[in-house]
Amino acid sequence: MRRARWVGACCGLLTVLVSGVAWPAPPAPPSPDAQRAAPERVTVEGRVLEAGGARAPVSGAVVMLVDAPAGVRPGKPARDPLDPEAVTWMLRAETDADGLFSIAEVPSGSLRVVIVAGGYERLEVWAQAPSKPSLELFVEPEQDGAYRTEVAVTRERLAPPDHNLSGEQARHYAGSGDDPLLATLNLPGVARTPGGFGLLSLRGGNPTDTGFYLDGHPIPRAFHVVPIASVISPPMTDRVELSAGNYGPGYGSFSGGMVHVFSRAGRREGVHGQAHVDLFDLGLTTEAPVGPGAMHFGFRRSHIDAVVRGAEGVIGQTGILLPTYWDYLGRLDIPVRPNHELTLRALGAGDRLRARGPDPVPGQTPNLFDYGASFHRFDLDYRVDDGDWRVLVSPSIRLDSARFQQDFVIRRDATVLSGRVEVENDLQEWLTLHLGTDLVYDRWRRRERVAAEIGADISDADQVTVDESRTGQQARFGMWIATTARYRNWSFVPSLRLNLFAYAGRQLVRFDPRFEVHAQVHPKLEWFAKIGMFSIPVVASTGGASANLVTPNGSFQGGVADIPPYLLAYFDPQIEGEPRDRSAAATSAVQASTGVVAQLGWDLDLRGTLFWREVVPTTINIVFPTTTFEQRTARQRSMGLELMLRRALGPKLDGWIGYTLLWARVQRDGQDWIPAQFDQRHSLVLLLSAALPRNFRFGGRFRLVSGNPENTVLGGEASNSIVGWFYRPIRGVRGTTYQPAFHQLDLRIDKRWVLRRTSVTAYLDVQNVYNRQYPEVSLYTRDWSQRASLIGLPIYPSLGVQVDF
Amino acid sequence: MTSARVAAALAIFCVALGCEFQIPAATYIHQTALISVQAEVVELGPLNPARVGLPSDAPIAEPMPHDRFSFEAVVVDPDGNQLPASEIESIWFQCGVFGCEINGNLDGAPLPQYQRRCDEIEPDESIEQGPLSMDDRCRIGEGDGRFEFVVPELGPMMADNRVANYYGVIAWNGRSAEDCWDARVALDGLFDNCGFIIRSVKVGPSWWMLAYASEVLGIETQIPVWQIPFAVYGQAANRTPSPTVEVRIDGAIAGSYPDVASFSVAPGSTIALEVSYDEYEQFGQTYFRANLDAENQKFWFEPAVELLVAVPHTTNAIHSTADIDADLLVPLDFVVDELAKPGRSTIFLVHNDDRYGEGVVRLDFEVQP
Repeated sequence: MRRARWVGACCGLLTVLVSGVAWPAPPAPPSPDAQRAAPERVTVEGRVLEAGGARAPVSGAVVMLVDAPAGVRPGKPARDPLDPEAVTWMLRAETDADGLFSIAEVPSGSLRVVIVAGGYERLEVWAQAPSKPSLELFVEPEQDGAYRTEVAVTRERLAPPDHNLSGEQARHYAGSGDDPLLATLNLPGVARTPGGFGLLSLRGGNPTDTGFYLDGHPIPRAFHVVPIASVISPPMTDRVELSAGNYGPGYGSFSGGMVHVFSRAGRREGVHGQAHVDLFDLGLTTEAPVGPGAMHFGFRRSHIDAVVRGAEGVIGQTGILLPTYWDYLGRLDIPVRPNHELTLRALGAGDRLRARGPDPVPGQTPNLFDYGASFHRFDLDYRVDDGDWRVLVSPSIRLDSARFQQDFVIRRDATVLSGRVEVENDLQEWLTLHLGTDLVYDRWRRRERVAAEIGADISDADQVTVDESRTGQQARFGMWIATTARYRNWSFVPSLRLNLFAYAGRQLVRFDPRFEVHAQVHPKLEWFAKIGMFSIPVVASTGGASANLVTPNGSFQGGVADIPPYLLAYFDPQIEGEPRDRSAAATSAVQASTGVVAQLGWDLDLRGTLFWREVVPTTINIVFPTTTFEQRTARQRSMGLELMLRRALGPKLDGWIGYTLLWARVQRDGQDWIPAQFDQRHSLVLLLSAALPRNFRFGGRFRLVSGNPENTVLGGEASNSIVGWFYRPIRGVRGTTYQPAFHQLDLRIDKRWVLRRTSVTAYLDVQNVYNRQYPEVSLYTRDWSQRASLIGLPIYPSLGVQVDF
Repeated sequence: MTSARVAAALAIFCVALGCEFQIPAATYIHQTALISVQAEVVELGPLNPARVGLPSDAPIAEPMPHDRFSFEAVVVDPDGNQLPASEIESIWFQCGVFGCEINGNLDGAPLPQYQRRCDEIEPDESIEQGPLSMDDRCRIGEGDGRFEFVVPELGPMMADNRVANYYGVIAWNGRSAEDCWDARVALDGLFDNCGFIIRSVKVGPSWWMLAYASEVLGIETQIPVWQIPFAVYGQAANRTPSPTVEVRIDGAIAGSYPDVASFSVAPGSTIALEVSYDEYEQFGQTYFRANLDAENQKFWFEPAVELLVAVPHTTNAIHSTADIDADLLVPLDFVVDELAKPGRSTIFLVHNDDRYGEGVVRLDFEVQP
């Protein structure tokens, strides 16, 4: 009822304003005799700012001063409805670009200040004239616009990605854990990752076929080793771009698609930041102006290990995994001179994963295994955008380190130099030229020590049988040229990329021709087609270091846990082994796609894509000291359809409906075709996020996805050893059976409290609302004769709090 | 909260809270199962008759070429009844030094070597096939629960490895071994009433056999014969260990196997087994290991005593109280079900040495009301 009265009053005011009927100004100054009794005239100044953490000046806001009864409390909200009939005078002004306003000739005394600004909630507060210091008035963004995303479209890009997710928007999707990169797992073309692990399998390829870039340079992994989170703190993420295939000529050396995460530059209009805490980690980000530029820095550290240890303090030793992770990112953006901008960036991430025996033996290592990995990267970007010329020069250095200890120690340290130069010129109105080069040079050192016997002290040289150290280097270099030619509503983008792979002492040159065409066949309908080659180096590795990290068929609860290979295969490819000398080759993938993008009503976009991807087999000569083996790599083929109906920037509602139809097959050296690891025939994702009154936001995600092909366990096979019998499973051909269909509903609700200078957001996220436990892992009897239990994720609620300032 | 976080949390909290999964204990016989394949030389061949060593009743578990050798499957049902050999069918293959990978390819196609019979192998230079030897992969033959065959001649790979692998297909409850084998090769069915075993067998004694390979067969071995000291040629053939098992019920000694093999227990009783071996017999089983002196590139030999392991299997009312994950560490402690009804329960103790000698001790426990 009260809201209705407010609306009525507001409408009344606006009607008067719009109709040009002016309210009476305050009475003219009286004669000097009467002046003693008349109120003094003063100037009221102030500033209108956005409430909450942003505190951005609000320009163009209408500030109205209206007389108010005596006795009101300045600074308090004017909750009494404004009665237009009772208004005796009114003065108004508009804020300038800095949110400042000034209104002269205001009768001293009590005032009602009314502020109306587009995109913000109406504000009415009591004030006093004169007022010192000047008024600071905070208006709250309209709930509809709480997650506004400003997309600045400057010019047509070379090879734009299939999907572009705003970091701020994607954080609030249900089931994405505040992490924009995890939100990309919901996009069409991306396979459902078992158990929620951060594996990005695109269009049926292996996760290792996907390229991960952060601000133009590769990163060793996108997710922490126990993939609870991505390696970039969510508040630092500006956007995530995903190309499920047919990525642009500026990138190469991976046969699938690519994911490119961009960090966010700091804002220049004040000191801001964000702090968050949830069950798994806590973090803080800060951004501030620095001279003419801005800095942005954030870090995050997990505390799940402390949670586990705390639980053990109550229930005793459990001997379970202890994961720890951290990451940071800082950047400084400085305009050097007009159209020239310098960005300095430092980022890093680290993980540690420890397994402890339930009863550690004094004097011996308490770790069954101890894995740690980290990287630190330092970048410099120099950008010039001088009309027709755009230039980027970006060198980067990355320091990688990984260590894996059991009854052996493997340590790998690497220095990775990465460089990228891009030049773009509008030669003609209809013709743009793109040139560029990129280099990734990896120089590594690997040390391996093996204990003389199980339980020996690996740090004692006398108890070590193997202590070897090796160094090596590899590089991949690319140069590309592309043109964008526009003719009427058509644009054609032919490109050629030259790849030089220097792996395992071999140098291989490959050319990748690629071609794109886009046509605006209707004002609301675009058609596109892409085809290209994507060369990749193929190497034979020296070993599988993590083979014993988690036993694929490890004992569990008296039985055997049948852990699907895809849960282990991508643990840390770098520490697994190095390229074997002279054992390298190169092959390529051929990718083609075509589709349409249609703009429908209600801000809906529909994108439909047909795709085809084929990785051509090649032969590697695996060189040993005395002999050489030839190994033929697998042919991979996938094809399908991606559909996405998206409402990306809707004021009340955003989200999408994504569907993927996929066939993905692998053929190894003349054998029969078998399904690829992530051959998920159908994948449907419904993702919605809706603004509700009172700063509530509600989100939901529903997924219905075909199961992965299984390496079906048909039974067990015993073998006698020197210490008794062991069993191994007899498995059917992959794809003999498939896992059952997966379906799950996740819900999330956010509540934001907007204060003057801060805002506080709390969320409750409930995964698997109707508690359907999907069998990600099966438990078998020790002899593999019976499948006794299935392990899936139950319903699981979580809470998190975030403070913006 | 991502599902990944959920996964991690589940793993953590599940273990922390002690999630229980309904999995039969690894040591409990919940369905008819193959628990052991005993192997013995039933008739010595012409090579090295002195290998019998000290007089013993224990069977020789380490054959030499041309010996007559046997495998005997021990199949037990959940009531503790051992199926007679006549109710069991078997097919046996020799895998040479290979790991008996029946389906060698990702697409499941079986290796052709296992489709041929050993006795049909003829020398064929075009495919580098010599006369049948222990290196070949082939089908030896068929039988019931007990299968006998003559070990063929030594091959070069076997001379260097001296561990022969055999693949056994065992069928019971009326199912034919051929049917089990067809299902195994085709990977298209379930294996009810089938057992598959990769049975490794130590061949030797090693050093006498190495000399035989080098001097008689002209095989070039990794360990040159001239580096083998004369004393190690006297190493005796490995014999299946013969344990003595002391049985304690509720803390009191109830008897010792082999003198006593049947005992009485009450519901809730505890049973503890203590396995020991005759020191004199074990001394006779001393063998020699070859070690490479990397500096001088010479082999030197050291005596070794056998590592002996016993793994229990229980039926009906008896359950192991040990942590069931690691076979090696299973203490031989058991409990009789509190609600056990009168009847017989059995503990089968499968004992083996580190040269693949394997035997079974059967202990019956009558649950008294």
